Amino acid sequence: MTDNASLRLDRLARSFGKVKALDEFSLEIPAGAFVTLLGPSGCGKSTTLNLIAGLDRPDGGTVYLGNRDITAVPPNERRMAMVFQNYALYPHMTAFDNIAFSLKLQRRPRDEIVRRVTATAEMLDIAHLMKRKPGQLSGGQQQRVALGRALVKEPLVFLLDEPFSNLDAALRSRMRTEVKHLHVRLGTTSVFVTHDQEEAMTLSDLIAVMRDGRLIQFGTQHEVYRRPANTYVATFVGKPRMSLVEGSLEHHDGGVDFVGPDLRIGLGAPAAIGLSDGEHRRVALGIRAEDVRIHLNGAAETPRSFRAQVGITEPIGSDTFVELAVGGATVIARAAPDIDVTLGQSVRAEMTAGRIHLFDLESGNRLVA
Amino acid sequence: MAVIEATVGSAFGRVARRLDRLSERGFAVLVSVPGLILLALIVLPPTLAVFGLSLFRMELAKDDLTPFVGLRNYLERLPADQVVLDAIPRTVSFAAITTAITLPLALVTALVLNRGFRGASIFFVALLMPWAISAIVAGIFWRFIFDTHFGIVNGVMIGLGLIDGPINWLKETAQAVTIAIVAQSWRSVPLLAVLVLAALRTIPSALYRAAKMDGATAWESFRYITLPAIRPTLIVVGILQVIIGLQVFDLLYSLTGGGPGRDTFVLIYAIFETAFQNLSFGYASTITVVLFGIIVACSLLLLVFRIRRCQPTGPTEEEEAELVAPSRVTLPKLKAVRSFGRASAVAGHGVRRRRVRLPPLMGRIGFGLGAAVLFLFFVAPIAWIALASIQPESAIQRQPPALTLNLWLDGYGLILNDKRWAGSLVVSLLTALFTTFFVILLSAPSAYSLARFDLPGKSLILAILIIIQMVPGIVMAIPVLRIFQILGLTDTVAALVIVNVAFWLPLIVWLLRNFFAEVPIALERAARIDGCSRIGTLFRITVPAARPGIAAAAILLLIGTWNEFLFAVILGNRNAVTITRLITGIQNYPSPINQSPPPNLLAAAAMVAVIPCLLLVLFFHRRIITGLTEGFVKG
Repeated sequence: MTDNASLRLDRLARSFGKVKALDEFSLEIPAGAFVTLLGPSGCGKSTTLNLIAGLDRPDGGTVYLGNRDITAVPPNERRMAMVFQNYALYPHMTAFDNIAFSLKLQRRPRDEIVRRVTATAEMLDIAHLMKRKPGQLSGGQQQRVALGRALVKEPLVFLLDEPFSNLDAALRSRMRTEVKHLHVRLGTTSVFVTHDQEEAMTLSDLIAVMRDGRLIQFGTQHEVYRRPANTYVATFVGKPRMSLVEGSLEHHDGGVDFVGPDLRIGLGAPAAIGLSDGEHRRVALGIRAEDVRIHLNGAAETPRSFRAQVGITEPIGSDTFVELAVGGATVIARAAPDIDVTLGQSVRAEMTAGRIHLFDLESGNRLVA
Repeated sequence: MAVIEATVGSAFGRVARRLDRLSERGFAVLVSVPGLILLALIVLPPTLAVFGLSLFRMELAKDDLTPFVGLRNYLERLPADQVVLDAIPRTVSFAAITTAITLPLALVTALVLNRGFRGASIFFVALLMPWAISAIVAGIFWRFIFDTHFGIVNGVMIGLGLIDGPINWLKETAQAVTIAIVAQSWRSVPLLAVLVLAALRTIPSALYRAAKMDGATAWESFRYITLPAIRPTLIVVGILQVIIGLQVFDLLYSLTGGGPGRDTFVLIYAIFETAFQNLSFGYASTITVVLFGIIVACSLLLLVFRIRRCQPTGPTEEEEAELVAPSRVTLPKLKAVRSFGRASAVAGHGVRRRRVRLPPLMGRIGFGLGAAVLFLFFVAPIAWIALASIQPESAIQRQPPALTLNLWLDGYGLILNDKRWAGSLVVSLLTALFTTFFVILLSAPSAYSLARFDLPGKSLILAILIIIQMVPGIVMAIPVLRIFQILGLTDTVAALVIVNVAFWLPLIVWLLRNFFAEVPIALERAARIDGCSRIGTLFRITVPAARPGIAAAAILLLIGTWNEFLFAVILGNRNAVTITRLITGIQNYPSPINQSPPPNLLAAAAMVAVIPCLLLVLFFHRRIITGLTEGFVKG
């Protein structure tokens, strides 16, 4: 993929009345990457997408495509394609005409249009639907036509605005896989907007987590998952949510302990865990379910083990998630599907070394490397 | 880039490209300003001029002097004019009583239609027919039915032995007023029923299922779920009907002529006589301002409700988020269900309530009977006139009528072969077509702009649009006649078209705005990204997607203009005589001597005047219903 398909957003600002939808938002999207803008509704992700598409203009800042400033270029001259949440198929046109529309506007010769539309339709397995109008198509079929309409243009950039949110769960995961296949095959720069962290994790090369019109963290799905920049990212990404326990740090010779109600976890040397300097009087310890192990047959105590009461269990087939109550806080542990625990049972659990996150309770920021 | 190369060649392409570079607000202003300026120019001045005229003495029948008299028309002439003073309470009570009758009838009709049954679409056609018939012809219909000598009412009553001889129904005050009220309600129920039905259809059916689980009877479901949900609509629609009732004129003109005596002489009638028979333009304007004041008072009430209902739908990116949220409509209803749930729980602990449950068959029969009665109420008057129009005179003149299969089909031929009638049909058709064409053309850009963009002063413009719809046509009529007299344009189709365009423009801007707002903004965005220019998007995507709505507006316009009477009677004279105008003079037709035409020929003439509209109803009733629902049509 050539470099002219990279995108750079430079200090974009956009307000709607008093609401700042975007506030000095900057982001670099490498050519050929699949980038997801992730955040709850109202975080500015759709605004960002509209600014990239040219459907809206920023109050300040610049959009670059390659090295070219396209901030003022109207959308019809940007060579981008977009898939919309509600598909936005033209109701008065057949599926064929919907897909062919952009090519017609480009005054392509008739035989080329037929050839390209047919090829796209075959790739998406909708060739038999071409004569129908959107009203005669199911949701999944409309979704494919909308994808086809975007693909047939061979755009420099793909924009996807929550394209799967209207599909049922089964169809959604299927379309997800297909979109990933398509991206691997075509390598087109793609910007994907979603509030569904699972979608973001499975699809993206890079995830930009947003909140209140600002970029919170930008990195690979591994970075976002393993080294969340703050408690917001930590709890937004990953399922089940990362467990957070409030407490404080106690320094002693050669090491530092996290101390919470009924809980003391030895963290090791500050340098080893990359603990940043400072007081850190109040902190939150974060731990993901897969990093908590339940020991049922009296394993030896370690610095990272603790005692807890079993709460409810949530078997999902491949695993069972167990709620552990410890001193008023709740920690979720992932266990084998056939684990035998009962409500109220007292168990010993252990956190995996190197997988313990620490956040400053006041700012929410990550304290360890 | 291919897109640019393809379009840049032509001048159109250059213009389109320039438009694409405008800011959104710039584009919005550019699109809406021409239409809004036109609206301001042809709608506002005549409306405002009536206030100015009311301060002058203008007696064109006596002299050409027009001295400024200040408020003397209001302070001296009006208080001394017992005829007008009497007409004020008469007008208000006529409006109030018709509303009190129309609203429950409309509610029942809407409930029947909301149940959905086989043949519902036939019922819809029947329902819309009284609405589609011009008020002028409706008056003729009802007079025909209650005629002393050949009226079916006398015929049936004599046939049943209820009365000995024919009654002159329209001669007695109580009877004449009752007939006028029934006729007006007959014409008003359709619009109201359609509006109420639209409200009924927004109630989620799950609420009724939930109520059933809570143990609600049919009546309790209606009382605690249906009624609270449609209460705002009932209020708005009731006020609307009062405003319509205040402006009733055509119907009374042809049904009672304001009589007997002056017992159905309403304010508009007074204005009409003062202005167009006595040519007292100044004083007529004064009475108009009085009526206008009454209507504005009602409109303000309506405005309060409407503005609260239709918050502007700005094209923000948070729309999607809103889609996910539960709609506002459901919230009060949920509350209703909850409070109902409590009530039934209490009752469950206490005394078991008596429950009247009709056996299903009885219920269905009752429902069928009710539906049939309503159906007959809407259709029977029209059916009778249609039948009478093809019966020989001897059959109609008898009491009771001696209907025969020996049909008389000459009536329609006589009418259509008559030069004046054929000419009038052409005039009406041309007026309707041109008016429709120009109104749609002129209103669409502004409507689109109002639907899509945050224009400066948008809420003010919308408020004016609503207010102006409530302005009676007669307010415009006086200044307009004066202007056209000066321009020498009276008695031309052009004049009729211009006035009708001015009259309909505000409503259609409002209506089309609602239709454009329903076109998902994502469609336009998709087209822009597909490579369409702004202008291209409008013509290739937005207009086709809004086509059903535009068609609905066009049909409403065709029917409305065809049926228009007031402008037709003041502007038309010899050349531009519309069918509504011509038919009021039918008493002098076709016999050269001063004698009424035979009843069967009268019926045929009345049918000719309404058949085009009835056909439109037959073929496009769905479109009309959407149009009425979206637009709150006047009249």
